[in-house]
Amino acid sequence: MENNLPVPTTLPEVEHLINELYKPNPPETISRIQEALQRLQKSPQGWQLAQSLLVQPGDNIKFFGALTIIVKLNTERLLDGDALSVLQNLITWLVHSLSDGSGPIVIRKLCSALVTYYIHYSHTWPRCFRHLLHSLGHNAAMPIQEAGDALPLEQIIRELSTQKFLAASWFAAALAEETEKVDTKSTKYISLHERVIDNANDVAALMASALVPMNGVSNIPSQREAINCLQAWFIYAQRTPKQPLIQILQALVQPMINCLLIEDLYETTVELLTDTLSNWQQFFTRHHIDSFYALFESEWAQQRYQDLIRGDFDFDAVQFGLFMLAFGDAQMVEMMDTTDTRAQAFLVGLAGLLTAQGHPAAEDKIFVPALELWSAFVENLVDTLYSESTNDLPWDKPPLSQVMQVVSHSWQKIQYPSPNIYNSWDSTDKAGFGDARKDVADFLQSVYTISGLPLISFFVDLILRALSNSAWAELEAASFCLGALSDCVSEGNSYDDALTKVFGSSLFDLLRQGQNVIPVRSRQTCLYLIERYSEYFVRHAEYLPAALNLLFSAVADRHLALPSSKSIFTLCSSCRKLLTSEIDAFLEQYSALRNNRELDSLAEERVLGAIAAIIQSLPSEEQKSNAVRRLLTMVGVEVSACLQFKSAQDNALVDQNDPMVFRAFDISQRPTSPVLAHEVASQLAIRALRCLCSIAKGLQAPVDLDSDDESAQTGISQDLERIHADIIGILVQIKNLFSNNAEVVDAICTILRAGFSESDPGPFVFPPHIVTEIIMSNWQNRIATVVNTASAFASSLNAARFKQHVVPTLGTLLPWVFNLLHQLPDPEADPELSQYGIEFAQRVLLRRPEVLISQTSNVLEFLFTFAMKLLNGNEPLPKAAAAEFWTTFVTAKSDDPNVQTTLNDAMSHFGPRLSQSLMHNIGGRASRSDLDKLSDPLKKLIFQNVHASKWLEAALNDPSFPSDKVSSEDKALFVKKLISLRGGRPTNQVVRDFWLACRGSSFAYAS
Amino acid sequence: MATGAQNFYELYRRSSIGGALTDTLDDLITQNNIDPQLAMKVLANFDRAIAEVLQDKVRSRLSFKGSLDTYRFCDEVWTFQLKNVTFKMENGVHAVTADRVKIVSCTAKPTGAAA
Repeated sequence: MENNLPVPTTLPEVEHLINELYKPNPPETISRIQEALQRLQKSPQGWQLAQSLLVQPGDNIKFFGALTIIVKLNTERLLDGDALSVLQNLITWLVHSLSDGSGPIVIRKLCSALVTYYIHYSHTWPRCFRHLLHSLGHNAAMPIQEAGDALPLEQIIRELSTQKFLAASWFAAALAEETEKVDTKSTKYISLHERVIDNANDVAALMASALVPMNGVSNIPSQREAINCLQAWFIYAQRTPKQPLIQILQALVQPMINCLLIEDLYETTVELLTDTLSNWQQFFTRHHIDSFYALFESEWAQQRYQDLIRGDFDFDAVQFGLFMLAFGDAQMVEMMDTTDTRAQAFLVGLAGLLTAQGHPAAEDKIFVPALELWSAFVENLVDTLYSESTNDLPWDKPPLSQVMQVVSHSWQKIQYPSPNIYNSWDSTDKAGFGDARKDVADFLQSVYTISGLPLISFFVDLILRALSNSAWAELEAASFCLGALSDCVSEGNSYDDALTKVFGSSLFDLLRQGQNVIPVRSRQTCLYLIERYSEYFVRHAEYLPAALNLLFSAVADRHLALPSSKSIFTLCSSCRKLLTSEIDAFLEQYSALRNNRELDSLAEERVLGAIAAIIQSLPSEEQKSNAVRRLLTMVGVEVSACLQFKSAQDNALVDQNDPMVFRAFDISQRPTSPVLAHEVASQLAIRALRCLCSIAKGLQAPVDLDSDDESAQTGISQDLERIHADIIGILVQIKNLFSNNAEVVDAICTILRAGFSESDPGPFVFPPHIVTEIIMSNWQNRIATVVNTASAFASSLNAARFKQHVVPTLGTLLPWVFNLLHQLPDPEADPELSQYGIEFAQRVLLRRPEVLISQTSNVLEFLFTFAMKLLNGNEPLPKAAAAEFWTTFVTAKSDDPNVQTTLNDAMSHFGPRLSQSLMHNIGGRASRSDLDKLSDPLKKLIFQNVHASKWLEAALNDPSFPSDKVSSEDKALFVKKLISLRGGRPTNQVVRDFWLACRGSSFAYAS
Repeated sequence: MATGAQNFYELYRRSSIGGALTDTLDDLITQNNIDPQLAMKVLANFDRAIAEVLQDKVRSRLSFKGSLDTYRFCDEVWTFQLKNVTFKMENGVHAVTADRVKIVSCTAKPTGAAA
C-alpha cells in the first residue's frame, strides 16, 4: 500500500494526474494513477470534481469529468430533484462541447453519461430524445415539460447542424446499445424498456431525415451515422421484439436499401443488411423481399456479381457475395418452389458463385460460404423430399438440376493446382484449401441422401474419363469425391457394379508405373480410395491381389507410405479370412520391406498390424504360432542390435550409414553425422516395442467375433508358452535397460494391455502371474502408468478363464500399490499416481471386497485416510477418483458375514468423517466442477445408511464448517431436502444450490 | 463493425473446458482479482467463441453406428439415446465403443430472446 499515490487535493493536481494517465507511461505508473483517481471519483467530492473538470479545457480532462459522472450515477442513488439538476448540467455541457471545439471522445462520453442517467432515472426524462433534440436546437438545456407532442420536431430536425445531428445519433445509438444489455425480462426494468420504445418514433424521424433528405441533398457522414445508429436499434428490437418498434424500423429498410447504391455508404449498409438477413429474417416484410429481388436483378447488382465471378475478391466484392448468400438463406423455402421463377433465377446466381475464378480459400473467398449455403439448401431439400414421394426425382429440372450443377462446379474447384502454384501458398491457404475439400465431401454426402447411385456413377464416369485423358488432377479430385461417399454406401452391394468399373479398370496398372506416369498426390488419393472401399474387396476377392500388390509396391515410397500402409491395414483387417492362405507371401513381403532404408516406422507398424490381423484368422494354433514366431524373429533383430549398442561405452559413436541407424531413425530425423550408440539403442528399443504393440493389437479378435466356448480355454500349448517366454524376455530386457524412458514404459504397458481384453489364449494373452511379476518389477519412470495398467489388469481378471487367479493376483498387487502410495510424501505430490492408485483400490473393493478387507488394519487405516485426504484436497482428478472410491465403499456388500461386519465397522468409523468431508466440500471448499462427482457418495450415503442424517447435521454444524453465509435453518433445510430425495437425481441440483448459498451471491454469475 | 445480435447457447459451459474456465473464474473472484460482472462477460464470450470455433475451426470428423433406443423432440431440442455405439474416427485405425450414448442437439441458430 505504501506505493499508492496520495489522493490529489487541488484541481491542478487532478488535471496533472489525468494528463499523466493518458500519456504513454509504464503500466505500474498508470495503475497507481488510476487507483488514486478512482478513489477521488468515489469520494463525496466526486460530483464537484466532475463539474470542475467539465468546464476546463482539454479533451482528456473533460472526458474524465464525464466518466466521473458515469461512475457517480452508477454507484449513488440521488433524489429525483438532484438527479434532474445533473441532467440539466449534462445537457448544458454537451451543448457547450459542441461549440467549444471539443473532440468526438468528449461528445460521445457525454452522450454515454446521458444514457447512464436515463437507465437510472428514465421516469424523470421519459421523452429523452425529443427533449435532447429540443435542447440541441436551442443550444441550451430546455425545460423537460416542453418536450411534448406539440413540439415541432420536424422543424427542429431540419435545422440541426451536422455536428448536432451526429451527437443526437450517438446518443440514440448508445441508448439502444446500453438498454439492450439491461435484462428485458426483469419486472424492475419493464418500464425502462417501455420508455425506450416510446422514444423510437423520434429516433426514427431523425434517422429518416438523414436517409431520405427532404431537400434531396445527401450528407454522407450523417447518413453513415444514421445506419450505424440503426444497427444498434435493430439489435435492440431483435432482443426486445415489440411490434410497434419493429414497424417503426421496418419503415426505414427501403431507404437503407437505396443507400447501397451510394458508394460511400455501401460497406456500412451491406453489413447491416447481411447481418439482419442472417440473424433475423422474420424482420423483413414481403415488400422488402420484393425490393431485394429487384435490387439483385438491377444492373448495379449484376455488375458486382460479374466482378466477383471474374475473381475480384476485394472486401466490397466478397461482402456482396455474402449479402447474396444471406438473402438466399432467407429465401430457402421459396428457392425450393419450382414455380417461383424469380427465386429460381436467384438460385442460378447462387450456383454461379461456385464458379468464381481462383482456388477455394487461397484465392476464392466466396466458395466456402457459398458451399455452406448449398449444404443447408440440400438438407432442407432432403426434409421436403422425405415428406413426399422420392420416386422419379426430376434431376433434369430445378432445383435438383441446380444441385447437380453445384456438384459439378465443386468437383472442378477442388482440383489441386500445379505444384509450383500450390507450393507458393502459405500454410493458411493450404489448410484453407484442404478444409474446402472437406466441405465439398460433406456436401456430397448430403446430396447422396437424395441422389444415391447416380452420384456414385457420376464420379465413376469422371474417374474413367480422367484415366483415358490422362487428366491426373481430375482423377485426383474425382477419386477424392468418390472416396468421400464411401461411408454412405458401406452396406449392401448395390453399388458394386459401378465400383467394379473403377477397380477393374487400368487404374491399378497405371498407379504401379510410378510417379513418372501419375503425380504423387493423385496416387496418394487413389490409394486412400482403396482403403475407403475395403468392404468392396471383401465381396470381390478377385481384385484383392492386384490391390495389395499395388499397395505393397507403394509402401516403401516415402510419399505413399502412409496412404498405402493405412489401406493395407484396412484391407487385411477387413479381408483377413480371405487372405490366410497368403500368409507366407505377406511375411516375405514384410521381410523384404525391412531392407528398404526409407521404410517409415508408422507404415511398418501398420503393415505388421495388417499381417497380425491375418494371423489372427489362421485356422490352426500351430499356423498362428509359426507365423507369430517369424514376426518375432524379425523384431528380435532390432532387440539384439539394441542390446548390443546399449552395451557399448557411454561415448561410443555409430556411423550414420550403419543399417541399424536407418532402422532407428525415420528419414526426417536421420542423423547426418555419427550418433551416440546409446541413442541408437533407445530408438531401436522404442521401434521394436512399437512393432510388438502393432502385432499385439492386430492379433486381437475383432469386436464382432464371438468368443469360443470358455470351457475349452483352460490350458495353453507349449508353443504358446514358448512365445510368451520370448515376448516377455524381450519386454524384460528392454525394461531393465530403458525403464527410465517414458516412451518405453508406455509401449510396454500398451503391449500388456493388448492381451487384457482377449477372452481366448493368444501370444499376447500372458498368464496372470507373469503380468503380475512384470508389473511389480522395478520401474524408473511413469510408475503411474504401470499402476493404471494394473487397474486394467485387475478388471480383466473377471473373465471366466482367469477367475481362479483373481484373489491371489489382487492379493499380491494390492500391497504393492499401497506401498507406492505410502512412499508419497503427500497424497497430492504425484496426482497421477494417487489417482490411479485409488482407482485400483476402488476396483478391488468393487469386485472383491474381501481381498481389500483382508489387508492388515494399519494398511486399511492408511488407505482410507489417504482416500479421505484426496477427497479433502484440491487436485481434481484424484479428488474425483476418491469420490468414486467412497461411493463404492458406501455401497460395498459381501456374502461373507465376517467381511460384511468389517465393512459395517469401517462405515461406522469413517461415516462421520466422510460426511464431514463431503459437507465441507459442498459448503464451498470444492470447485464448482467437482460438485456432481461429490454428489455421488452423498447420494449413496443417504440411501444406504440410517445414520446419514445425523452425521450430515453434525458435519454442517461443526465449527470448522467453511462458510458463514448460511444459517442453521438453511443447513437444517438442506439436510431435510437431501433426506427427502433419498439419493435421487435432483440431489445434484440441491447440492449445487447449497454450494452457491455457502459461497455467496458473487458466484451466481454462472447458470 | 457489424456484430449482429445472435444468441449463443450456454450448454458448452458444462463441458470439461467450460467447467475448467468456470472454476478458474471462481478462483479469481475468491481472490478478489475480478468481479462477477467480468466473469459473466468472460462466460458470454466463451459461449460465443466455442460455438464459432466448433463451427468454423474444428475440421475433425467421426462417424458412428448404434441402436437408437429413445428419441424425443422438445422445445426445439432433439435428444437421442443410443445403445452399443461404435465410433469411427477420421484418422483412427481402431474404433471406440460405448454401451450408451446420449446426443443432445439444438438448432444452430438460437431464436428468441437471450439464451
